[in-house]
Parts: sequence; C-alpha cells; structure tokens
Amino acid sequence: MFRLTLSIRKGINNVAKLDLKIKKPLDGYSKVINQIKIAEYQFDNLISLAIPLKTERKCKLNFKKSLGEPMPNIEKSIIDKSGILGFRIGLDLLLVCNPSHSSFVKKTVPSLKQAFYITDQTGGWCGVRVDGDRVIEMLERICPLNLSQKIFAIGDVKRTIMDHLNVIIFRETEKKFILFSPSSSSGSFLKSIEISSRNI
Amino acid sequence: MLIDHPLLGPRDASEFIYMGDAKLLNRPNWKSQNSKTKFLDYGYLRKNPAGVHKELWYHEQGDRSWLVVTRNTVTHEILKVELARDTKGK
Repeated sequence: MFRLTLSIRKGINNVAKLDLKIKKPLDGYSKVINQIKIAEYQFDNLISLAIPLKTERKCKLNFKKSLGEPMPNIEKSIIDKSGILGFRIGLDLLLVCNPSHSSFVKKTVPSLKQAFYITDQTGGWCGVRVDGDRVIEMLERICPLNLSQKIFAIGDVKRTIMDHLNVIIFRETEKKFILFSPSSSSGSFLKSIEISSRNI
Repeated sequence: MLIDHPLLGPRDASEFIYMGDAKLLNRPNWKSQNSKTKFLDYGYLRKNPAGVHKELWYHEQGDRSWLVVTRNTVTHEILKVELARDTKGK
C-alpha cells in the first residue's frame, strides 16, 4: 500500500507549499535474524489479469505480445527482460508485478487491457523477501506447503495461508523467496516472519 | 487433512472452505411443473449421510477453484477430487 505523506510548509505570500512523499507499507524494513535476511520487496505496480470466459487463446497471444514471454502455466511464473514478474495463480487469474520499469503504465498495461480484465492492486499487497541458508526452516513453521524443490521448484508461485493470512509465495532461488501478503495486515505478517525466524 | 487438488496436487485443508452438498451444482429448472417442490428440496433438504458424500469445497486461499470432493464422512477418507466445472450437469 502506498501512503502519501503530506507535509505543509509555509510558502511565499502565505500560499502553502506541499511535499508529497510515497511511504511503503513496511517503510523499507530490512533486518537479519538467525542468518535470514528479511527485507521489504518494493515494487511500483501490481495488477491482476483475469481471463474472460473462452478467450484463453487470445489472452495467450496478447500476453506474449505485451511482455515478450509466453503466458505461464498454473503456479508458474515468467520474468521479462525489464524484470517484470508474471504469476499465474489460477486457471483464469494472473498477477503482474512491475518492480520499477518506467513504461509499464503507459505501454504494457494498455496493451494487456486489449485482452484481459485488469485491476490495479498496487495498494493491496505488500512484498517481503526472505533469503538465507535457514529460510526453509523458518518457512516450515508457518507455511503448510511442501517446500521441497521437487514439488516447489525455482520460479514456481503458489497461493496459500500462513498464520491465518492469505499469502502468495514465489521461489526465486533455492533459498530465496518473495512473500506477498495483504498490505492491510502486513505488520502482523512481518511479525509472524520475525517470530518464526527467531524460533528456528 | 490433505485434499489432492486435480491441478495443484495435495494441499492442506486449511486453504479450503467447505461449501456443503454438491447437489447445489444442479439447480432445478424454474419452469418445470413441480418447481416449488424441487426448489424446496434444492434449498433446504439434505441427506447428510454417514458414509460416502459428494461435497463442494472452495479453494479460497489458493487458486479460487471450486472442487467436488467425494469423502467418507465417517472415516474422513477422501475418495475422489474433481474440478466442479468438469462435473456440472453429470
């Protein structure tokens, strides 16, 4: 969630001078606990793409045209040249996360709109990257999924529940994951990650 | 309890919500002669068997799919899991 911080300074001739600054849900949090690096994963945009009924073929072509990569299968992901992530989390549902590519809103989104139903969910999700040798031990305490690489390979993405909160988990490398949780409960989720990291 | 999702593999039951008897997939035709009786049956009457039962489960904390789970309500053994979209009208 982006929170705009408004500060009013006295300007010239009593006209207010406004400064708007973007504040991320976890305010750029970063900490190492038991050799696990926990850091907020910051992104500029996160949109959901829903496939309209009976248009999967059209959507596949559009996805390839817009992002330069084939539309992933269910629970798989793609990363395009500019670092944009695409997750397929359901038969008819995808998420696209743009870390910082400047032309995403002006070019990629209008292109995707030609085939998909699009909802901007940038404010709804918060990302946390967990990384380290003991990350699996930490996740095993809160995540009900089988984290073995045979079942949950690098590049896979799954939606599940951790400490009663809805979480999308993406495996970047063997011991590095990005966890997306609703931004409204991001503080609670961060606390459960911290506690789990301390308790391994 | 694990539910063996047809697309995603075994997933913990905590990701799902139980949504009742799978008969809800077969809505009666409101134009039929005895539609009143059929809707009473559809809306309110359940067999609630002690044994094999077809149930609807919604994968809310997952891919948001609807499943038809055939489960033994006495032993909790899951005998079959299908996507609801594949079973509707069968």
